[in-house]
Parts: sequence; C-alpha cells; structure tokens
Amino acid sequence: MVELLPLLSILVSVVAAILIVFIGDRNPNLREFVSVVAGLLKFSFVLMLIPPFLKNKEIYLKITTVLPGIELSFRVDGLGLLFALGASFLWILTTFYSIGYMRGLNEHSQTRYFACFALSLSSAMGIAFAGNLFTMFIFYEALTIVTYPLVAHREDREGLEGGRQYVVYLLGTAKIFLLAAIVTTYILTGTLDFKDGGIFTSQIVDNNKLFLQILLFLFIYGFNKSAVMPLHSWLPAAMVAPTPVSALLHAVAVVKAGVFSVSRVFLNIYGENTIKLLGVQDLIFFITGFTIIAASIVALTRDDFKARLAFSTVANLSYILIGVAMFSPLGVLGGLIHISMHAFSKITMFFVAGSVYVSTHIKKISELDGVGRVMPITMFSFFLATLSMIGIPFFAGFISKYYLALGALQIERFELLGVFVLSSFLNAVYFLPISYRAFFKKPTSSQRWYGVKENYFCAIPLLLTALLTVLLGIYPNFLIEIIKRG
Amino acid sequence: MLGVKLILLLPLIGAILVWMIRKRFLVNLVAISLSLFSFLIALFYYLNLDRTKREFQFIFSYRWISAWNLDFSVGFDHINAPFVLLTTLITTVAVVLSAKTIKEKLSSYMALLLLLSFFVNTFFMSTNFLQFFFFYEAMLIPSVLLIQRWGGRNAYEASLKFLLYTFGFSLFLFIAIIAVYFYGGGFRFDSLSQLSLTAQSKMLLFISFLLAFFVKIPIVPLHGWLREAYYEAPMPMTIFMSSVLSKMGVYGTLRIAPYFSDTVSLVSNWIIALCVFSFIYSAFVALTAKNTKIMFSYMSLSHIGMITAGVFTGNILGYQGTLLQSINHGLLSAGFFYIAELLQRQTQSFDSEKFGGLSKRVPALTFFTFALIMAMAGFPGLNYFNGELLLLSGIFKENIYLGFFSVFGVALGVLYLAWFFYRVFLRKPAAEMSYYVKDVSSWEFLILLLFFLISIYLGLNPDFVLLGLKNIISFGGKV
Repeated sequence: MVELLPLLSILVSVVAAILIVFIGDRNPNLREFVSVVAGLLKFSFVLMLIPPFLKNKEIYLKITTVLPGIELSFRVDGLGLLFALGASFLWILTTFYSIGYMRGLNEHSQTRYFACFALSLSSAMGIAFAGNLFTMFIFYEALTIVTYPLVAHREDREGLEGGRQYVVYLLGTAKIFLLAAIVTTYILTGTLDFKDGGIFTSQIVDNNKLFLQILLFLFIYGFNKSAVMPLHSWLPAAMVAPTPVSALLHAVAVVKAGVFSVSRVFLNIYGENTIKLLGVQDLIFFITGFTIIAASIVALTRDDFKARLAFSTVANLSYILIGVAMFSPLGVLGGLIHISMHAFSKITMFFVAGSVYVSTHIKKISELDGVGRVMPITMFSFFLATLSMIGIPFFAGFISKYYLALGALQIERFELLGVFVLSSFLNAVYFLPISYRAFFKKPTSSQRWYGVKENYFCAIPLLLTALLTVLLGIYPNFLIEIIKRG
Repeated sequence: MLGVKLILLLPLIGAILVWMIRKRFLVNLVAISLSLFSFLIALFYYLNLDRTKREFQFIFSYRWISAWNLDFSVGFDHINAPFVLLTTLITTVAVVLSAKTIKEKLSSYMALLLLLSFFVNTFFMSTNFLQFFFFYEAMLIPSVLLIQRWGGRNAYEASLKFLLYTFGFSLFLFIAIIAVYFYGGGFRFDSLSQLSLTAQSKMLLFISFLLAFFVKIPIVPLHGWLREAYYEAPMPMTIFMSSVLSKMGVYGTLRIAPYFSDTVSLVSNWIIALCVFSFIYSAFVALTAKNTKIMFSYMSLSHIGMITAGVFTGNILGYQGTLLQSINHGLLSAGFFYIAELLQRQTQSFDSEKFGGLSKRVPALTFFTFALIMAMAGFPGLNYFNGELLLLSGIFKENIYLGFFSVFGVALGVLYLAWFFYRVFLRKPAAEMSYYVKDVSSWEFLILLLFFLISIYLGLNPDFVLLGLKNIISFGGKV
C-alpha cells in the first residue's frame, strides 16, 4: 500500500485536472473546490510517506520495464521527499492565493489555468519520486509542456514571446544536451538507475575521463530549469506569467525541479568519488559562484518587481548547486535544505508582488512609496521574507546559509565563504529598500493610495508563508532529519 | 497454412470484388471490411509468432519455377512481421480515409489501392530474393496509376518522376540479385551467407543493393522524386507512401545488413554520415516549408534518414532502433498527414500561414495534433522516444561525433513541429481559413485515438515489436 503512495500523489492532481476541465466555467466555486481538495489529498499522501520513510523502509514501485536497464519506476528518498513536501504544501496555499488573484483581476481562461496548475504539480511529484533518469526525464519534459500555457497565459504579444523563450530554452536544452547526456550514460553503464555513490565505476571513469567531464556539463545545462548562467534568460522572460504561476512554478516547482535534478545527477549518477576524480569541482564552483554574484548585481538594476525577484531566484538556485557540489556532509545538507528554505521565502515575495499588483496595478518598485500604510499585512510579510533571504538568525534563510558556510569551511574553500557573504550583502541591498519605500517614504501625492485595500485571499496565504519562514528558522530539525536519513 | 494466405488474399479478393461491384456504398463496405479482416488476421499471427526461432514461420509455399528451384512462398519472421502488421493497419486507415475523400471513380481507385496493399504485403512476406524483387517492382504499377489518375494538377510529371527514379535504380537490385543467384547458389535470403566472393566484389554487391534501397527510402541525394510524388498524390496514397512504401527500402537494408557485417564495418561511418546528413538537411527544408503537406513530407524524409542510419551502426542497439522506429515512424507520419488532410478538407488549403488560433475552435483536433507532435518530438514515455534512444545509442557507440550531429537533428525536428503548432493552432489573430475548419468527427476521432493509444502502448512496451530480436541477430559475420 505504501508503495502506491507516490503514484497516488501524482495521479490525484491528474484526476483533479480532468475534473476541472469537465466542470469548467459553469461552476467556478466547485472547480476551485476540486483544486483545494486535490491539494489537501496530495499533501496528505506525501505526509503519509514520512513515517515509513523514517522507519527506513524501502519504498519502491516499478510500473514497467521499457528497455533493458530502463524502467518506469518510483522510489522515495530524503531528497525527493523534501522536494515533494515543499511543493505539495505550497500548492494548497497557492490555490487560495490564485483564487484571490485570478478573480481579483477577472482573468480569462481560468479553467485552463487551474487545470494546467494541477498537471504541473503532478509532474513535480513525478520528478521528486522518480526512481531513475528515464522516469525523471518523462516528468521533467512534461513539466515544461504543461507550464507553457501558464507562462503564455496572457496570450498577447508579450506573453507569447515570453512563452516562446521559455519553451525554446527548456525544450531545446533538454533535447540537445540532456538527450545526448542520457543516451551516452546509457551506453556507458547500461542502466539509468539512481544509485548512492553514482553509477560510473572507476574503470569507466579511467577510460573516459574527458568525456565524463563534458557529460557533467551537458547534464547541468541540459537540466536548464536550474538556470545556471549563461543559459538563464528564460527565467526573467517567463515572468510575464500571472504572479501565482511565477510564485509556485518559478520559485518552487519548476526551478527547484531543475536544481533537484542536477543534485540527483551529482549525488546518484556521478557520486562524490567520480566528481573528485574528474577534478571538475573547481569549474562547478566557478560557474555557480559567478552566477550568484552576477545575478545579484543584475537584480540591483531592475526596477520591475518581479524581474528583481527573478534574478534573485537565479542567484539562489546556484547556492543549492554549490552546496551539493561541495560533497561535504554539512555543505550538501545546506544546499538541499536551501531548496525548502528559499521556497518559503521566495514564494512569499512573489505573493507580495502579486498582491500589490492586484490592489494597485503597479509593477514598478519605484512607484511603491508608502504602500505599506494601506497594505500593512502584505508589506510586513515582505519584510519578514527579506530578513529570511538575507539570512538573519531565527529566519529560514539563516539555517541554510549557516550550513553552507560550515560546509565551505569544512572543505576549506574560503572563496566560497566570500561569495556567500557578498551575496548576502547584495541581498540586503536590493531587498531592504523595498520595505523602506513601502513604510517610510511618503506617497508621491496624498491621493495616491486612495481606495486601495488588501485582498484577503491574497494576504492570508502570504502571511502564512511568511510566518512559516520564521517557524522554520526556529524549528528546522524536522527537515534536517529527513535529509540526514536520505 | 490457410490463414497466412488470407492476409494476402483478402485484399486481392477485395480488389477484384470492388472492381466488379462499382456501387459506392458496397465498394466502401467491402474494402473496409476486408482490409480490417486482413489486419486482424495479421495481428493474430503476429501474436502467435514464436520469437525464439530465427527461420520463417507459418510458411505457405507453392512451386513456381522448378528449373530455378524456386517457390512462391510467404512466411513470417521476427523482422518482417511488424512490417506486415503496419501495412495491413495503414491499408485500413487509407481505405477508410479514401471512402470519405475520393469523389470520382471510387471502385477502380479502391481496387488499385487494395492491389497495392496485396503487392506490398507479398513483398514483405517473401522468403526469397526473386519474389522480393518481383513485388518490389510490381507495386509501382498501382502506385503510379493512383498518383496519376487521382492526384493533383502536376500528378502526371510527379508519377513519371517517381516511376523513373525507382524503376531506374531497381536495375541495381536486379543485378545484385542475379549475382546472389550465381555466387550464393540460390534465391534464398541466406544464400548471402554463402557468397564465394572477394571482399571487393562483396562491397560492390552491397553498394548496388544500397543504391536501389536508398532511392526507395529515399536518402537525400536520391530523393528527387519525393517532393512532387508526396505532394501530388491523393492524401490516402501519401499516407501509404510515407508510412509503408518508404519502409520497403528500410526492410531491404534490415534484411541484408547482418549478412554484410564485415563489409558494413568498413564503410559504416560514411553511410551513417550520409544518413545523418539526409536527416539534418531535410529537417532544414522542413523548417522553411509553409505548406503543411510539404513540411510533413520532409519531416518523414528527415526522420527516415536517421532510421536508416541505425542499420549500419553494426551493433544490436542501432539495429533494434531501426526496426522499432520504422514502425513508430509509419504510425506517426500517417497521423500527421491525416491531420493535414483534416485541415485541408473544408479549406482546400495546405498553407499554414492561412490558419491560426485553432486551439479554441477545434479542441479535439488540437489535442491530437499536440499529442502526435509530442510523440514525434521524442517525448519520453511515448513510442518515438524508445526508438530514438536506441538509434542514438547505436550511432553514439559507432561514432560519437555523428551521435552529436544526430542529436542536433532531433532538436531541429522539435523546432519545426513546434513552429507549425504555433502557426496553426496558437497564433493570433486567426487568419481567414481557420473559420472553416471543423473539428474531428466521430469515426475519425476513433482513428486518431487509435494512433494515440498505440503510441502510448509502444512507448511503454516496445518489446511488442522487439521481443527476442536481440537473441537472434548477431553481427559476427554469419547470421
């Protein structure tokens, strides 16, 4: 029975999507009710996986063998569970938020929106629980495709252009780099299964050293959802999507699926020994470190609220990759836990950007002077999330940065420490002024915020996620325990 | 074996009956039911095939020319069985579509189509080279007539070109087969393993086989007939050509390649390079095509290039890939031409620029087009991906650079399909033709659904086509 839970958690939102399409616009309340119920069910399925997992029970389900060494199968481990927990929980909150956002703006095609949303969560679950590279590839590609209608939701020139970039980058890299990487991995090893410590034997490594070095980067850029520079520009372009989409998908499900997949490759395809034998660690640190600093600096220059958040996301994704690539226990822990910690902080920020847009129709940061007076809950939550992003103690972001820093010390790479410190400083520089503007600057005219009210469908979820960043900052043990078990 | 005969004879009987009846309703009824029966019987034998044996099974033979020790004989084995199944299925689809779309002289049309199916099936099921050659040529007669009489405006030139190309290059096949008879001691396929020839002559023999097959497939420098023939032919015939007739050449290479494995290993890189060039070149042409029928023709041409490359990799992965992908390609390209036909039916236009914004107007058609594009783009879990994986593995194993080129071609394949989908189904504002397109009707819905379901089934269970092949074929000189 427990074996079926991963499959159920995938199927529940597929069924929900079918129901949503079937109900359609005739009964919006029932349609949204289905979304909420599916979200609750999915989350509870994932929760039910935790007790058997903590008892070290092997949870493995094989559907079929496609070709020798290539199976459609699911396996639950700490890494996957962590990702699934975050995504499924935040889906519930995002659903409520979406209801407020979509109805508040009177958006078109809401049925398609909710259906695609449900499907994208199925794909995210599939990635989380995939037992091998083939299964992961299926859901990885599916995620790109079902999120396209969400990104291009506006259907105007700008929306379609953003969608086009999104699809060309993600599908293109998956076809050119990832497919080649998967095929060559299959030829070299005859299998695509994930294994602790990697699937390349020392003999294979000795014979194909240069080739495996190239292959690793084919994987990193093939899983382009991780948005490592220079192939990151789809992420800011995809910000034309409605804000809840940007929030859940571009801070939680999509980009995290990318770094999650790359982490899988690091940990379960290559493994510590292989990566160290190949001597590619320095190069990984260099490109990810460069991505962190460069993206943070670009974020400084962006006045569009969501664009600034997008570049901050690009930077934070590389934190995770650096952490995993350290291969020291504390570094890996820090990297992986950053998946959750960043998710909660960043989703809050996106919710805030959307909530401000619903109430005021303003997208630019420079026009937000004094908005905190009329939207206190929203902007206060943003402040909490900012503190978490910077890494102030007792906030979620602190925990992951703490472990990342310890990891850097453990392997004696002080330059990484420098990257973390500099980037935290830059975080403060580009996020704190927003709160400052909102609360302390006077509105440009006295009539400016007349009639602006908070939309509580939007405000409550974002307050919840903001409070959760505090909670996770004080009680992170539960998540740490899951990762350590994995 | 009576049953195996029925697979061939039903279309033949159908052809004669249909030609005599001449009443539209009865013609349709007879043609559809007989081709469907033929498919079901083929499926029955397919499922009962013993996949552990290498030799032909369910043989039916009849003494033909005793002086040459030659029988007319048909049989199933692990290589030709999937092709026979594909032929009977596509025949059924083509017949159903013809019943709807062909307006004039239906009975002679149906008779020729069924006759064509009979020829092609007999070709695939032949157990000796002379019969193989005979039906390889015979199938030209009905297909040329079909293109010429029921084709478009320039059908005459198109069919003539098709005839001259294939007929001309078949000469090489004829020479090769005579050589096999003299130096291998008979017309049987495995005479190839007993050739008393020097390596150089064997190379010449191999090349003359390839010249004939590469025109039929076709591979790029020899593809001159393809554009006109595919474009001018009536749609059911185009479907039949791209799904089945192109596979005749592929089947030929699959048949002979294991016997020539030492020769193949000398030239494999060059031939694979040629096939990959064909793959990429045609993908670029498809990228520029605005006309849907031409685009799908080049798509078919492009993919068949990579499929052919698999045979010459000299390893089992590529070989399996070719067999599997031939079947997948047959299904999907039929689906794509079917969609082009649906778009054209009310609008009389293949110009993709004249459509747009169809996704809201015709949801079912949009869904199926999208599903087929996903399959053709190699979406993992659908049928095309498995073949692609095997083919790429085979090519990478043989030559890593050509492997990367093939991956590039695969990406191009996604590009033009995605672009097509965007132009026709998503782009706004919709152009004038979009208002005339009707959604898929009930029975056509079933056909597209069938394609989709087969695509999923083969995606999860490619062993349906490949079962046991691995243990039977070997590339160590003798088979």
